[in-house]
Amino acid sequence: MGRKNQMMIYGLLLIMLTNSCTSVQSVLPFPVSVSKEACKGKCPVYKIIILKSGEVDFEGVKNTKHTGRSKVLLSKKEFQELKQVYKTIDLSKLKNSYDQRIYDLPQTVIKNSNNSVSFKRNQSVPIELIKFVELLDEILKKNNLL
Amino acid sequence: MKKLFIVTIFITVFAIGCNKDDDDFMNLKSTLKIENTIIGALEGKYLYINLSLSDELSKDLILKADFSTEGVIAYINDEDYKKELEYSTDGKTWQKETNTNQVKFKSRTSNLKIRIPTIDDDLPETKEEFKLTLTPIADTDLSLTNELSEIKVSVVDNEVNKNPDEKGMLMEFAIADGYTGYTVTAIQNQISSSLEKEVIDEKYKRPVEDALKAFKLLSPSVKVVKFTILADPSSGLGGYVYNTTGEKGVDEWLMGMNIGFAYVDVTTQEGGTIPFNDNGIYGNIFTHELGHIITLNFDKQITFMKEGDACNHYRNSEGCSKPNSYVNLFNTDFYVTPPTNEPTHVTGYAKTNLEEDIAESFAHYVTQETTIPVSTNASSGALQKLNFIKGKSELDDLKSKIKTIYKLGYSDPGQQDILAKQVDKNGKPISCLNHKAILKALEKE
Repeated sequence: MGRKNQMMIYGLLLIMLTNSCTSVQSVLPFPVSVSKEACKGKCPVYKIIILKSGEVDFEGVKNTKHTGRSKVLLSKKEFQELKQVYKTIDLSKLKNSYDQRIYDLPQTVIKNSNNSVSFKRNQSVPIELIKFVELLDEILKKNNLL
Repeated sequence: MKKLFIVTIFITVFAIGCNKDDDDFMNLKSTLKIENTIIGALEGKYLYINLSLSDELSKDLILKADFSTEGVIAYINDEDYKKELEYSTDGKTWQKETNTNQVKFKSRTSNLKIRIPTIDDDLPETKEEFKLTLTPIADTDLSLTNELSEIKVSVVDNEVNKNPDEKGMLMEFAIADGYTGYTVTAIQNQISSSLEKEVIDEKYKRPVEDALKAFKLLSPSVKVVKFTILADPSSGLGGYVYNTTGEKGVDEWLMGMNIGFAYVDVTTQEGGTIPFNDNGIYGNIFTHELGHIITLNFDKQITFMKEGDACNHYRNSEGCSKPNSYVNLFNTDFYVTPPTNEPTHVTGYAKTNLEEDIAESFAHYVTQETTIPVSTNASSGALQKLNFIKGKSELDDLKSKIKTIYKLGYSDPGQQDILAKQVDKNGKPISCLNHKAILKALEKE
């Protein structure tokens, strides 16, 4: 195989790979909402809707830095990081609920237009859900909402 | 014989010649380097440091070690390692200086290995650190370029830690039968605050010992077998509790408490340190968790049943409540026809569900200093619920007993206003302090 042909094949592979990544991201089900409920203590209670544009509609209910509604546009880096983790979650393949009978842990609900999952953080919860919520909390803290 | 004499002469001359070379060797200029400034070892093993000189020196170089934990959050305790340095040029033969915090870079060598012993104990700790600085002792003969920098040293605990890189230290205890003692079974995750380190060192003892006293108040067949603590007030999580046996219907419980609420003043923005449970918030949270065990156990409260089995009383995720169980009676009194007079619940969190409602009502009743006024149907839902707890002798008896163990305060500011919000039958609020108005309102009924 000539060097030119090899280069062409590599080039095509690269284009295919880039396109396939883009297509995975473009089908990510937005908007996605996340709500965190109360615990015995002072856990932050909030609702958030993340739009396809990276815009976030935040509503701080209790124990949050910002109480009430607020809109924030995530930075490109933040949104990219969030999408990377979000795309590892397929809500349609998860159970609707991972709640065990653990009293007083805060419940988190993640919802998109088709599916939802609710869970209290414990070892039976898929790690990607935990990571997604952890990253989201980190971003909300950076944006002075939590 | 003559040959042997000649050979001997040769050897002697050669040996003298060699010695003469050694004596002639003279170099007092070099650069001192370190291989790695971040080192670590599992406890019980040695910590190793490798140094080198760009050029061999013709004179011994003495280095002094300074150990420091200043500014280190997950600092290591002195008893976990020896402040003794051993050194070697070949890594096989090790020696110590009389002054054990010093090592000698011998003349005519360019590499030096240093090792520091760590102590293997049975205490579950976690990844802990200290800083080490090696400094050449001043020698005016030498022209030394010192490229050594501070060494970050970590000693990793060899007890169980499933997630050493995850934030949020979690300490786990196995509770002995009859609450006669406890064992630290694991420390999970890493230390990320000075409070967490203080907890591992000492501050875990009081919360665990108090918990054992409180668990003794439970029915003997209801057992708390595990107790866990975290020390992260910023998470906001106060505590949690669950039956560890899943769907077997056995009373073996785990309680987890955030002792950050016991040692940090969570009522202020600054969050300063406080003496253990000084504001009573931790005590209130503990009482709430205890309330769950008291109202959800299989001893007198719940009958274990499989999904689909018939239940003629209040049913929850634990099973079917017994007819005279607290949750069943609470359901009949407050959930079949919910009270409408505000406040309907003792706290906002009590509105979560019946199980939280009764646990909050119990904690709130135990916390009350004042006598609970008798309630009527016209009273607030909250006051009626407090009277429900007061009317159950077992729960009422626990009030004084828990108070001998814990100082109790309200976990939410303003909770003490519940009684102040008593309303008359026309829905008009009556101050709790206005006893005349309360009596008058009751007379009208």
